[in-house]
Amino acid sequence: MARPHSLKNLTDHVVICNCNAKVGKIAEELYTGMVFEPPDVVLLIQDEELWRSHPEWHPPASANGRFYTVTGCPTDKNDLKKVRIKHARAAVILADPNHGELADAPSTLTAMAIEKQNPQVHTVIELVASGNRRFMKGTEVNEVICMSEISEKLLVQSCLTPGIKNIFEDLLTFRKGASQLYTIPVPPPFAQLTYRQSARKIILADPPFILIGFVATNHTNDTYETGKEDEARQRPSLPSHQDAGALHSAFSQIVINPKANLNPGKDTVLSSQDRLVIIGHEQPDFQSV
Amino acid sequence: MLKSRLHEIIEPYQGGPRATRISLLTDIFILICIVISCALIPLGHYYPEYETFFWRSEIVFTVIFIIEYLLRWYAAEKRWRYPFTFYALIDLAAILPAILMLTADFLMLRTLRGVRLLRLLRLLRLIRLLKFFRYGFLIYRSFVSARIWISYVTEQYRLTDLKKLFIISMLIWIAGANALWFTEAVILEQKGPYGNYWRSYWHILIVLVSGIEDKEPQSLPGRILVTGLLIAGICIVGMITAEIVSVLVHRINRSGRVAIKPSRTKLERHIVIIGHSRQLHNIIVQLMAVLKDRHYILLVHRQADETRTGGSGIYKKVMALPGNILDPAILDQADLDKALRVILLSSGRVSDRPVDRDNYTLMKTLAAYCRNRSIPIVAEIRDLKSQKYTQALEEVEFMAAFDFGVRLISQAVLNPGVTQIFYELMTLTGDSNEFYTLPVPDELIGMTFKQAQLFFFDQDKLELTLIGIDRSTERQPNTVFFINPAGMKNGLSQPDLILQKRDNLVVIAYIRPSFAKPKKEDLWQGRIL
Repeated sequence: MARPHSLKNLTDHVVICNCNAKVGKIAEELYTGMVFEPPDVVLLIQDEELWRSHPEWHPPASANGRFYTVTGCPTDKNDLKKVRIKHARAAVILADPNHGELADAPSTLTAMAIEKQNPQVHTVIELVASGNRRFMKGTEVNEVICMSEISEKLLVQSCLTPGIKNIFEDLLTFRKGASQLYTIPVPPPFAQLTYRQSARKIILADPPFILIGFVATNHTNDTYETGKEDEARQRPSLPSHQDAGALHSAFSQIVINPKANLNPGKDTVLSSQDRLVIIGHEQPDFQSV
Repeated sequence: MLKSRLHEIIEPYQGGPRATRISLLTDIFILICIVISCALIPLGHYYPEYETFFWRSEIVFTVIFIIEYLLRWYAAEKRWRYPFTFYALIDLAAILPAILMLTADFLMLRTLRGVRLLRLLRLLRLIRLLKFFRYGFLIYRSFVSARIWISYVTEQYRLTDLKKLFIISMLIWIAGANALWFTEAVILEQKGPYGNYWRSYWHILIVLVSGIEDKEPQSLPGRILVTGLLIAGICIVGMITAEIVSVLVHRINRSGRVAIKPSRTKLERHIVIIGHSRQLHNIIVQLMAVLKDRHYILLVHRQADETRTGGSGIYKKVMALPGNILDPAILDQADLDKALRVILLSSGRVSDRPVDRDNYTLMKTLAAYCRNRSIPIVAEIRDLKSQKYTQALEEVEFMAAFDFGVRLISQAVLNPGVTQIFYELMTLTGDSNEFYTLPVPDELIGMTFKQAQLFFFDQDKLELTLIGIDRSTERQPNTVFFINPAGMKNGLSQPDLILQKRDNLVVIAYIRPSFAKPKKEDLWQGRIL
């Protein structure tokens, strides 16, 4: 696919609102590109001075040509238009360092402004205080990342089982050879089979991935049995806007390592709206299964 | 399944992750039986009139020990080998004398020679004291817990001061009663209320505690003495009342706050959390979800004593040590030489730069590390620049949430929805999944990874999903592992997919699976909490 050279024609890009020390690292991770096709990134900054004064926050040189900076307010309709939010696939709202420990309110309002402009965009918000997570439920924010929460969870895990963070590190990284978690729509041959039957079938087929659970959904709109299913498989790097929206509501019933005596559990019949949770080195291919 | 459940119950309580209350209660019951059954032997000697009762009790205890022996045999992993194991021989030796005595008539032991043998058998019943060996760990743990509890109660209720006051009161009472009796009855030969030795104790007690002087001495020296005792009584009662009020006020002031670690209490097998952050409460909640009151948690930071419990029961085994860990006195008080784990939180003022906080954390890490190099330490750092210094301390695990956070944000963008799966795997609660690395069960050695997957998949009770193989060394666990080892390009080749004895399995499970019974030495050395 030809890459657009100007902001004007950008589609399927990622918008990052506000700048802090994470910008460069996020761009670096996104551009690793070993597993997924690297997306274009547009940074919407309010405080240009702050951005200029911190060259260490800037993305690596490899990002040239894919990284755009736009100055403006992330809650402003016109500025959001400038970054083509309607055509973006994801928006990351980082905590603005100018607001310090109280950055959660502006970040949430930014996310709401973005959702208003494009309800299909996948919004990811960085929270400063984990206690504010509960207030996110009333918003359309898709994913919430809180550094302090991650820190606390990993500290406890590492305290109890030294070295366990390496497994998380392995699963989180995009580098070549590392395993990834994938959620993919249940392939047609597996629809109407129970999780138990599907998992057995997968193990016996000896595929290069491991099924670890599924995401049960209650959707009536059959997204993946229409032409979109093919589209999603052809371009596995990122789900379409509709997929992202579907995932958001679907993730209320994530069932990892399903139990036999629960519903949803090991004997739940999978439907075509459900998604399988898989660990693999690359996007799972069910052709061989 | 019954066998496995029985094994869990009947095996001595090791305080492991799957240790159940019923297992603990069974152990306590057996220990009580051992103590009482052994006590019956000297009691039978000193109180021959109750011999029938003692003999019937002996029969009951013998039946209990026989049932215990048979259950252990049934639940043993290798039944044919069990009777020849050390503990099984002790168990057999513990019940044999009683069985021989029960069958004395049948064995014709009531003859003259047999009577001597019977006496010997009666004494040999004391062999059952050897059964205590099996419960060594439980007895040790109970001893340590009792020591910590007594020390804690003594400090909290100022029992040391009260004890001193009590001893002084007793001495004054005894001395006063004797002095009055000696003055009145012996020297002056008066027949007043103090003429009787034991009644003088009673009168002096009334004088000391209530101050009522209705039994006045007959002589002047006696009256002078009682006046002195009256004054002493007012002082003592006042001091005891003041001490009790002070304890109550202290308790009211400290209510809702974490208990302060008594300076003389030596903690053992505890977890030390150094530093303070807003996540402290959540960290304690998650730790306690796994530890379930098996270990103490010690909080060390300047305002540790101000940590609020919010009325939560999870702080039952949490103690505070206010102070700076860089202070040698505080470092001593933290009992790091006996601790199992250390967590260092990145703390400091909000205005501090992340790098400054990290430098402070690194200094504290060094202090803890130098005190005990064998203890697993995990430290939180905030700035990636600090990572270059952390490489010098390979034994310490440094956690940069920034790094994980950035990766999680990138995952959220490229792989929508997976962050919630990561959160589930990272969270430690009773009903969430976690990663575990477990030794390969004997029956799976030599099998392929795929066979192992099918083996676990068919066992619904285990509730686990096998995802990888860990081939790390014991010193550096979870460093050489292969998640999804059958992955085409980067996975293990076919011969390497055969499970070996030294391998560990990486699984996702709700709780530590029952097949992976922790080794006693792992529990003892705190490798498994």
